[in-house]
Amino acid sequence: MTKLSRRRFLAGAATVTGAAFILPLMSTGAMAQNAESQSIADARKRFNALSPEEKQALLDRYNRLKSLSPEEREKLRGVSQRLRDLPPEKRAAFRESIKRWKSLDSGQKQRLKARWQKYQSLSPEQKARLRSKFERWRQLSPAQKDRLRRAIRRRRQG
Amino acid sequence: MSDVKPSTDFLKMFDALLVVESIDDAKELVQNPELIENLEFHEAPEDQADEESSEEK
Repeated sequence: MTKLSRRRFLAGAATVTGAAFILPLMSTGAMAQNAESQSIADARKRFNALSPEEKQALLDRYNRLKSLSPEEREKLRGVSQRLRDLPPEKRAAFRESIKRWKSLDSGQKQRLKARWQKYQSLSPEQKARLRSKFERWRQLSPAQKDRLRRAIRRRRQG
Repeated sequence: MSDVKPSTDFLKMFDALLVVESIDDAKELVQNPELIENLEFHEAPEDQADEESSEEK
């Protein structure tokens, strides 16, 4: 191989190697962009299906939220994306949680924020143990949950 | 109203707009998104499993 052909060969190999790294990145980026376009198109479709009154109410709401800071608006777009990405039953549960949160008084919210912070300080094992307990709790009927809540209250008072 | 063309930013926020009614709601949601998403978990009694086993006795 002459010096020139060797240089050309190496340049070609570098291009091929570079392309092998860049192409998947490009396709990942393109996929993300495509997912976002689809998600916007889906939101547009759902918006168009609303009644004129519902559309106006949402536009008014959007205009009111313009007074949020740029960081808060970005986070709200993130929450919106999260709602879209969740499977339907989890999305419905998240919406219910938002409604439930709005119904709580400030004392209840403060207690839950404190519990949330405490939960964040736990080890992965402790978190897993609590999650497992919670799954057992979820399986209980409303009557069983009420019985347990009463038992917990009695124990705390006693 | 039928020819309203919502902005891309509006559409990106669309799902949040369906559930957030006020500025205060929005602020609380963006400050505590994970807590609110997992509200049922954080509202469950902390010592539920211990109580469960003591009730069974």
